[in-house]
Amino acid sequence: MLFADFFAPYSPDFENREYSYAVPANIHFFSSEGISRPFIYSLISEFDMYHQQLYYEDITQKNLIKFFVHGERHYVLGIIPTNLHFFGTEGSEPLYLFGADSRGRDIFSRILYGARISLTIGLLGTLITFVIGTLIGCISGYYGGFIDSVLMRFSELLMLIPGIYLLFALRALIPPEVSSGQMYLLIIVILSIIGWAGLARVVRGMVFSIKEKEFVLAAKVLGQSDTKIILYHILPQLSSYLVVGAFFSIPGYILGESVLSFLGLGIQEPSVSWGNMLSEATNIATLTLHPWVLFPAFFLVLTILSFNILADFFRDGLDPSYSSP
Amino acid sequence: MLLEFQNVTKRFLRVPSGFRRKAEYSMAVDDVHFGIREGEIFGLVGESGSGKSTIARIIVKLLSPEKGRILFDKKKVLRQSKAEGKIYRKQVQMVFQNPFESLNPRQTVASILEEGVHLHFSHREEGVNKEAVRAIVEEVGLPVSSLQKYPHEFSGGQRQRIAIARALILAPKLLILDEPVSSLDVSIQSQILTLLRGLKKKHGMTFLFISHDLHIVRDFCDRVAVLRNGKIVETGETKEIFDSPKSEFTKELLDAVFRVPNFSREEGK
Amino acid sequence: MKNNLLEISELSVAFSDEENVLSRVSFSLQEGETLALVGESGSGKSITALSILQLLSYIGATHTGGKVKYRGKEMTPETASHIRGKEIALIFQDPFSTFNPLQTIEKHFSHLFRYRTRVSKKNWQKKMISFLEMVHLPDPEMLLQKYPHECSGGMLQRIMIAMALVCRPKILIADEITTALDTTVQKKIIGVLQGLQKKKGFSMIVITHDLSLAANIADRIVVMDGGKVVEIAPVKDIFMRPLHSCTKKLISSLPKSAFQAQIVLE
Repeated sequence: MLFADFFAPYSPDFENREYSYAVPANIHFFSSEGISRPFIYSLISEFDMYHQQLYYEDITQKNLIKFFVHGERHYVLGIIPTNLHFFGTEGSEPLYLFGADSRGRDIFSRILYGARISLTIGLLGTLITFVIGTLIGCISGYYGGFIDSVLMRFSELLMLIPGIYLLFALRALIPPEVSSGQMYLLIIVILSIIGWAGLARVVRGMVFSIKEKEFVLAAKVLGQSDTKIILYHILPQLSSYLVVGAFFSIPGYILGESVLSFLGLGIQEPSVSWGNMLSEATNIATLTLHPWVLFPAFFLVLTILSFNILADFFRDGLDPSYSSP
Repeated sequence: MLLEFQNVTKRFLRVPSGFRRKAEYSMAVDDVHFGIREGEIFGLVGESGSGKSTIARIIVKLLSPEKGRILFDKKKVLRQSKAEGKIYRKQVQMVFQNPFESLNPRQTVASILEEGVHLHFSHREEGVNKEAVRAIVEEVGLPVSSLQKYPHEFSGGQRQRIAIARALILAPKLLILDEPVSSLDVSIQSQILTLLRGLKKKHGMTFLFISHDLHIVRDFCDRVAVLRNGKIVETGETKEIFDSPKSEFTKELLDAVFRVPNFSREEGK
Repeated sequence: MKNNLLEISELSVAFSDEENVLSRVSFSLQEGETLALVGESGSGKSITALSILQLLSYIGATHTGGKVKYRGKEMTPETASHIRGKEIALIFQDPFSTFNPLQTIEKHFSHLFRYRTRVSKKNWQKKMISFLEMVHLPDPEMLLQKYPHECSGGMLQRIMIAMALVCRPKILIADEITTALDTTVQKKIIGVLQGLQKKKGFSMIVITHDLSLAANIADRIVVMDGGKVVEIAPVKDIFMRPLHSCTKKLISSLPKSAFQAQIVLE
């Protein structure tokens, strides 16, 4: 993700209008001269009677795929200037591993760049939600009484509002001319505001039962302060739940961003995210003729699946009585 | 008197269930009056729900009573200043009933024991404190190597030893033992009681021993108070109470105890 | 000598591919006798009870050897389902978890009458009340309408005994039935059991960790340790002439005041 500049053959806004909806590259290893390094044939396009652009391979023109080719200038990690790319073709024929979109941009490169936004929204959103949710849950559960009532009624109020409409409403409040960077932060904030209430209620319930445990009482009898009791005695008991819960909820945020962007309310062009890439797939005609625009969805599913598997793995591994440190 | 309980009353609010809106109070401790002498083992006996644990929790200030006064060393316990409270915490410690719940599963034994030391002996050198932790572990009959272990690696009896060590390390004047052996096997029970007797002799502490097991109370305590429904039915020397109980309830309680019959007498017939 | 009602020989039990939790347990139960299984936690008392009734699959354990014979016939999981409840009844430690919290006591009884007896429906009520009176429960008509959470632990345990007796079992297995209860209630329940046994003449296996309780109720005591039977003897001999070191340890760890007279162990 950090090295998207390097691994992607092209920058996300590199357009090649002549290659609108170019088919995914057909990588060859054999040519008429026998085995060779992987190469692609140049594409010739022509319009058919319905003004559909069709692509044919021009077998006379071989373009070798090479590693570490020189291309556009970029900055690795934002610091090191270079024009090296991990792979690509030399010459004018572009390499579209997963095909191109309507404006002739490389879908593979855009997926790599889009991952930056989609994944960081997932991680950051979860982080913020869990910090707020745990904090409020702990305070509410530990002190109980009036504080508890106020905090919980407030969180119920938030939960009462249907999430997706709140999203729309909050989005509508934001002027359309904000920059994509601000938009990105705002989406994280919006998603976190919606998310923390449910978590806080669960944490509160757990804290409620843990604070009656004898080891917490023992710490009180020792004279330990409330803050330290929460930090040393209560939070560690929650940690495995929180880690697992966090990993389970990351996909939710990635999905949330995708939904917003898909509907055109989230990340806007020219920034890329998986969601706004998918918005191209709304048109059924596009979808049937150029199914490769769905590649971002495939990555979305893959990512969500991996986070879920990871969460499962953590849940099994985090119980202290199974593995002694 | 080391600790005096004067007319202490504590009510619990029974949360109204269903459509019954009127809140009800249940008396957990009702006008309780007793004193613990310095250096003795004072027993609190009663059935479940009689308010034994509530009294213990009032003494260690986990609960605060509605009415009454508590004196410790002739000083008021309720509404202490912060500094007084800290000294009181050090002087009055408690061992809880369930050794499987009273130790934080994510702390090593060392950090369980160090917690109190850091709170009350922070002025001492680190080396002195480390040595104190090591000494206390050996004193309760556990190997020093157990310091690096986690609670789940120990049996119930060993855990109760750790819990005793945690209280003991502050060198309290009064140690409250809330059913410290009732969740343990019989043979472990007697080991723990022997340990407690030895510790008391060595450190000259005062014990408040709470139990429902009359056999143990009879063997272990100097004086006993019998509780029923939050009220004290009878207080007196253990021998007196067990040999010539005055109240009906104490008699009933004593009759209910199973004892091994005198088989040798039968054999003589 | 009386007939052996239940014979357990060389019984071994293990949880899946682990060491035996019970190894070569053998004892017998005679008609009208009360046997106490005594031992510390983890000594295999409860597992013995479950394996007698062929209920091991519920806790994920299997028989690895030995036999259980009821009236001379070997028990298998198939035959056990007819014997269980009808001929041999089992009462558990925790009365709150054995009752369905959503059903009244009456409902619990009527299930029993419907599937386990041939009592006609119009006599149910009368029968229920008579069974509840048998265990000395006051006001049985009211009690039938109550839900389990409205009853105390001691009451529920007595209801359990009453329900266990509906099918007139020949053997009653009581697994730590008084452990969770107050001493005064304990005494009452043991009294009820002893009275009923005298009247109905069933045999009992009482599982307990409390030697002084065993001394008061049992004819013979089976001492278990680490999944093995270490000693079987009449109550008097267990206390006067304990042979195994484990038995001695159990006796000596009882508080002094648990004995009516000093017992000197050699």
